[in-house]
Amino acid sequence: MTDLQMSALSLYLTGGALVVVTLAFGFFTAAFISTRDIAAAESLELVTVGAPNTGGLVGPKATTTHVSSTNRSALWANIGVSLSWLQTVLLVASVITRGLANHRWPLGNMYEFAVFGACAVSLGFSILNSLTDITWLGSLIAGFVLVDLGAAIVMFIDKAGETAPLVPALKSYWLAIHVTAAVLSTGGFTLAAGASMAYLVVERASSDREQGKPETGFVHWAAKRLPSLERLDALAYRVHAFIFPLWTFAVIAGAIWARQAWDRYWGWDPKETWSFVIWVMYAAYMHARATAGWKGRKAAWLSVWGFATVLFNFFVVNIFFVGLHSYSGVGN
Amino acid sequence: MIRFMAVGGGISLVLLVWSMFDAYFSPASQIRRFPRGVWFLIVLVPILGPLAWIRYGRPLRQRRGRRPRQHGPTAPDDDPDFLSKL
Repeated sequence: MTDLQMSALSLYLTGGALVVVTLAFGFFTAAFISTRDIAAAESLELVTVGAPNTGGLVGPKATTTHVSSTNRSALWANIGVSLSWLQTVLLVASVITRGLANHRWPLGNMYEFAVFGACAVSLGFSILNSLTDITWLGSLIAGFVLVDLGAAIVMFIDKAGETAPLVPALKSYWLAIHVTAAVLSTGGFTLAAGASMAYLVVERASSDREQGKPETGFVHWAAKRLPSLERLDALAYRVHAFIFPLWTFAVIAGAIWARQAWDRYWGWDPKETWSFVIWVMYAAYMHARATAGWKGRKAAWLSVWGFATVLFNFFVVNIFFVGLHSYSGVGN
Repeated sequence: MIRFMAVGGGISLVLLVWSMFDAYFSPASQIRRFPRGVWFLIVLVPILGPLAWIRYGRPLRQRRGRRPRQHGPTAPDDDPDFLSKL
C-alpha cells in the first residue's frame, strides 16, 4: 500500500467514525430522553404493590408499562455503547494509518490533534463505561466528538493535506511524549467536565426542591435522568485525580522540550500561558474539593471553567493566536 | 477562511443547541406564532432560525412592572404568591 492510499484509508476511517458517532449520539439522546424518573418509577411500583388487589388489572398493567419503557431506554443505551466502541476502534485505526502514511507520530497539525483528541475521548468513555455505568454522559460525549470530528473533516483537513511532513521544529521524540500527554488529558478533562456539569444540574435541582421552587424546566427534566449527587461527585473527583497528574506531566515535558528546542524552559508563549492557566484552574479544583465551604457546587464550577480554558487552549489559541506553538497548520 | 468558519460554526452551534432546549422547555401555550414542532424546524436554519425564535417565537418575559416589589407584608388577597398556593 502506498503512502497516499494509506492516507486515504485513514481519512475514510475518520469519516466512518463520524457516521458512527452521529448514530451513537442519536441513540444516547433517545436513551436519555426515554429514561424514566427512577424515584417516580420506584414510588409507582410501591403504590402498585401496596394497592389492594383490584382484580389484577390496575397493578400489573402499571408495572408492565414501567418495565417496557425502561427496557427500551436500556436497549438504546446499549446500542449507543456498542456504537461508541466501534467508533473508538475506527478512530484508533485512523490514527495508526495516518502515522504509517506519514512515517511519523500522528500529532503534527490541527487535523491530527482533533482526530487524536476524539480518539482519546471515545476510548476514555468506553473504558470508563465498562467500569461504571455512565451512559447518561453518552449524549454529551458523543455530541462533543461529533463536533470535533466534524471540524476536523470540514475545516482542518484542508490545511493538513493528504500527507503532511512535519514542521522541522517538531522533529523530536518529545512530540510523542508531550503532545500525546496533552491530548490525552484534554480527552480526560472532557469526561470530567461532563460529570461536573451533571453534578451542577442535579445540585441546582435539589436546592430548588429544598426552597420549594416550581420543579419545571431543563434542570429538573435532566436531574430526574441523572445519578445521585454523591455518585456524580465521586466520579468527577476520580477522573480529575487521574487526569490532573497527566496534564502536569504534559506541561513539564513541554518545558523540558522547550529547553532543548528554544533554549529556555518557560517563555510565556500564548500556549504556555494558557497551559499554566489550565493547570492553576485544576489545581484549584483539587484543593477546593478537599476544602470545607468550597466542596460541591463551587468546586464543580471550577472544573467547568477549567474545561472552558482547555477548550480555549485547544481551539482558540491554536487557530487564532500567533506564537511559538503555531503548528496547527491553519494560520490564515 | 478557517477562522471565519470556526467563529461562525461556534456561534451557530451554540444558538442551535440553546434555542432547541429553550423551545422544548417553553410552555406550549406561551410559544408565539407557530407550534413547537415548526419552531424546531425553523431553528435548524443556521443563525437566522435561532434569531427568529428569540425575536418572534420565544414566550415574552413577564413585565417586571406588573408586580412591583413591595416592602413589608401584603394583604393575602393582594399577594400573588399566596394566591397561587390556593
